[in-house]
Amino acid sequence: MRGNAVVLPMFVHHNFYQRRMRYCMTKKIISKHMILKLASLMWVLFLPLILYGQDTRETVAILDFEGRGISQLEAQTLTDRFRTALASAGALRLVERQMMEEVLQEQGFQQTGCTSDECAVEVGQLLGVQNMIGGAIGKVGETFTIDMRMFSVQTGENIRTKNVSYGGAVDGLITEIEILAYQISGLEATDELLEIRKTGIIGPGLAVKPKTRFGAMMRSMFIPGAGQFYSERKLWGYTWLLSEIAIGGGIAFFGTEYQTAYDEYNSTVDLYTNETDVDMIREYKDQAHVHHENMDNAATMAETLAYAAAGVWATNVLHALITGPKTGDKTSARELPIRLAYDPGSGATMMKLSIPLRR
Amino acid sequence: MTDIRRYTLHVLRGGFVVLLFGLLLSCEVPTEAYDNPLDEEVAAEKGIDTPALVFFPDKFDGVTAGSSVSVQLYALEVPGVTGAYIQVAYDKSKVSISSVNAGDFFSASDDPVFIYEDNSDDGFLNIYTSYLGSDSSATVSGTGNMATLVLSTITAGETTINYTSESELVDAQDNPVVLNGLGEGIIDVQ
Repeated sequence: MRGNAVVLPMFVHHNFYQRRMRYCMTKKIISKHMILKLASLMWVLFLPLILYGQDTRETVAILDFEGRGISQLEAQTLTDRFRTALASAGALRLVERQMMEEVLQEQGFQQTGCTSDECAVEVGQLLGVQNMIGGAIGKVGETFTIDMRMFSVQTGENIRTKNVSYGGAVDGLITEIEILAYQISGLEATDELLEIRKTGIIGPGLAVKPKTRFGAMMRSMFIPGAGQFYSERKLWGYTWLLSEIAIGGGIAFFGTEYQTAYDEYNSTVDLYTNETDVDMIREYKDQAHVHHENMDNAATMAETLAYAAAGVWATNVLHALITGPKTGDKTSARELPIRLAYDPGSGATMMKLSIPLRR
Repeated sequence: MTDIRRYTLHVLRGGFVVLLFGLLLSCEVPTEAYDNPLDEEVAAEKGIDTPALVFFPDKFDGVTAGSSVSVQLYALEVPGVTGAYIQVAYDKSKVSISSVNAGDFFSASDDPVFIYEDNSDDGFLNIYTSYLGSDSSATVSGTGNMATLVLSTITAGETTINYTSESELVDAQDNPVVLNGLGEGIIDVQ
């Protein structure tokens, strides 16, 4: 079970920093040289983290869909499915439901009652997102209708609107809502979803198979990191894959060195064997000895790296097996604990540090 | 499309595994081996101490019956010699002498004295050669080719050619130079 996260927002105002720095420098608490050193050190330490943490996708929050002719529970369930599908599509950065509810509760908002445009814009501003998605699911006779729109929090203008009418059992709405998640993200729905819509059958090939530890392990066994990608642990996947590629590159380098030394050794030995001049015999022998030594060293290095590659490979397989596929909220779990973002509303750079209290 | 994707993935997987195993197995380091009969260290390993008489090359593999091989008779690290009597024993049923030519060890302003006698009935080749420079007291030292033989192979099988103990090198005063080693040549006729 995932625990609550403590979110510590730290507003780092540029002006505040500048004033503070000037004060310290005037009082000779810290020298300019020291500041430069510290700044450089901070950049070196945090730049990779910051670069990794940057996410250029637009932020979006989803309001629970309004149910008209269907129960609010069904509407909420469909909203949840829509949220999951939108996160899977990956084109937009989604504010997790839990965080959204916390913020709204703090501000005394009730999401269920928020159906007007003004309310939605206000919620979006409170959440600090760029766009909001809202909609309604209705039933007229035997036909279900879904109306959905994504609009800008800043301007209130519609960015994308989608609607669909569907006749059939209520569970068929699940597929429709998943397709809409892709479309509202500006993406094409997957072939699988379109096939399900067409046939109405979730066949063996189309059904989403649950991800397993064994599946992750098997994938990592063949390609390092593949199991981690399958488990949606991309950072680990890249780590294992790049490690293996780097070691493989080392092996290839020393393999080439070995091959060069091997060829040179053989050609020098041939020259030595056919030489009749005593001085040249000695010279060729010395050269052959050097080539043999190079060959031996390169082979030793290649062998050592091959063992390292095998070790990394085995560890990657174990890691895939032990960690297994990710469960729960994927969006938040993928994020690093420290993120930087610029808030255009307040004109400040915001650093967010989240510490999970229990898992 | 899905099949192609699956097939490609399988090929990639297989290729990756094969590549790594291939790299692991391909880096065999051969044992360092030197085999030149004119290399003093190699000769010593074979029990031939200098000064010595050796054949170059001293081994012929995969020679077909009826073909010829050329072998050079070398003096190895000899001190101050002016002449030599060399007797080579061979198996007359396996090889025969096709030609004998003087080497360059005793070469000077004048060609060296070079006389040979092939006693094919007994399987012996006798060579007499000496330095014929303007200075009669001059000698040659070190390693050099005294003669080149061309042998014709007759029948299949392994045969050897040897320097007999009758072989002798002499200095300017016609004193014998001690020979510590006499080499052997091996011809493997297929």
